[in-house]
Amino acid sequence: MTSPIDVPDVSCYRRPSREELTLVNRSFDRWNVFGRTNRYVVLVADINGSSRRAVSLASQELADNIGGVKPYLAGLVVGELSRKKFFPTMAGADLFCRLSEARGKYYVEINYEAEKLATYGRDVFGTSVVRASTELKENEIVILINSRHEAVAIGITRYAGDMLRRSQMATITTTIDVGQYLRDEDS
Amino acid sequence: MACQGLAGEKFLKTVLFPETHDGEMLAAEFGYDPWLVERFLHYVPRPVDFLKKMDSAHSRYLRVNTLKTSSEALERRLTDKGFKLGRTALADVFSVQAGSISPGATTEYMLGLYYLQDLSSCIAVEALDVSKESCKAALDIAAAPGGKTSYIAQKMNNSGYIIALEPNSRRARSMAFNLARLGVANTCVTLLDGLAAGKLGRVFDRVLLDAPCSCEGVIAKDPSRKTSHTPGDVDYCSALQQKLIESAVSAVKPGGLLVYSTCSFAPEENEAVVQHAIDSCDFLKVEPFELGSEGLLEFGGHKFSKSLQGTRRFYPHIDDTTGFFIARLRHTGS
Repeated sequence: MTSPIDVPDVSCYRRPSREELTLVNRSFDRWNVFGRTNRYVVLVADINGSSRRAVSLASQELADNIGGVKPYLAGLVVGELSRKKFFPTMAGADLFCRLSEARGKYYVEINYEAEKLATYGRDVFGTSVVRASTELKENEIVILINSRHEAVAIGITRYAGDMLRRSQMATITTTIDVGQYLRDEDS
Repeated sequence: MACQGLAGEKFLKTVLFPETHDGEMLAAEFGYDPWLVERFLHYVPRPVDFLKKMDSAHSRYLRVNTLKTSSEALERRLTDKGFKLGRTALADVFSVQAGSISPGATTEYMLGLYYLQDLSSCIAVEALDVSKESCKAALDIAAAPGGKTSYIAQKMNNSGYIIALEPNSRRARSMAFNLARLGVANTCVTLLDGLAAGKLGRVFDRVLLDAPCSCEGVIAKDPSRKTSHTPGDVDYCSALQQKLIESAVSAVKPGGLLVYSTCSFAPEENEAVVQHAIDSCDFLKVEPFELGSEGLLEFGGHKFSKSLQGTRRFYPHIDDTTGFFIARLRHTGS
């Protein structure tokens, strides 16, 4: 997976196909935001030279008015579709976190120490996990949230269930974090 | 409605004044090329205070991103972290008076709860008089790095739409990072030059032209400009600005507003450019607004219309901002 905050080199933004919309809605359901993004319109854009597609949320007026303008970027890129999987971007994680009241299974709360480390791209240790669903399996994508329920990073679980909190080792691999905006911008 | 007679060829060449003893002394004391100081002596209020202020630490400001938080909530959070914030003329903007760490290194910054932006630059957006009700479509010309675009977006509460023009792909990429961090969803960035604004085939309720300029106003941040800046820079910029304002005017809807701004003190880049626009378009009127100092009515023997008093200049020693110029222009046509 490329860094999802990279600006995708896209051909053009368009409305999603039925299949794409189904995939996006299913993903929104996973993050507990299905039905909560209704003020926005889903747009997708083919990422040049690959089968990946950027998924963007745009205001209705923006979606209606980008015809004739070749956008470099349109709306808020909340994720990427690759094959049949949806990978959230950091901006997507942030929005899902703010829209989702129930949060749910795929949101993992970490302590302040881990939050600071995660914003430098460091992995999360079991002892730093404050709250995690025991239903989580290995290799699941999760949004890491702080005590204020703000998305600070996206990670992949290395362990399942209770082991996520119990292990003295790194139990979640951080793949993207909010600090990456600054690190990428500097590069 | 098109402007009559916008030719884009005649612009006010950089005015130079004979060297004086005072000018030479001040130029030597503060490390400027004399031509620049001689000009300051002709229009900057209290020039010695001005030159001193340009050599002192400039104030830092942050703009609250109300798409994600409120002024009160952010103030509490940053105060708890040891920051000392001060109120400004704008409710969304705080001055950063003290802090244990850089305001660009906090988690709150990374989360996009605020954006570091000079107060003067925020006032340019304030002058645009944007609200969810008044503005359904906005155009931001020469938009990178996106500070003003994102401020317009938050004033529109992510509704309506903004088209942001930025011809440089590297700057557009950096702008995209900022818009993503700040949660902006109503904006389209396109790699177009500002001169193409009229070719978009649509008109906008609000148009912002923060024109590329000689950056005299940020000498405090980049002292090398005291001697690297030349009259040729001002000539080049004012000619370009004149073409850009023509392009911007053609994209304003009747009844709509155009805000023209620069971070330069040079009257050739400011009042002269606005004068050119209102002379060429009889439907374009300067609309005064609060804050800052009045625009100039005369410079180096060149007279400007009385209405240009309604434009606004911002000086570091008076307003505690970077040097800035803002003109609010209303399209009064039907």
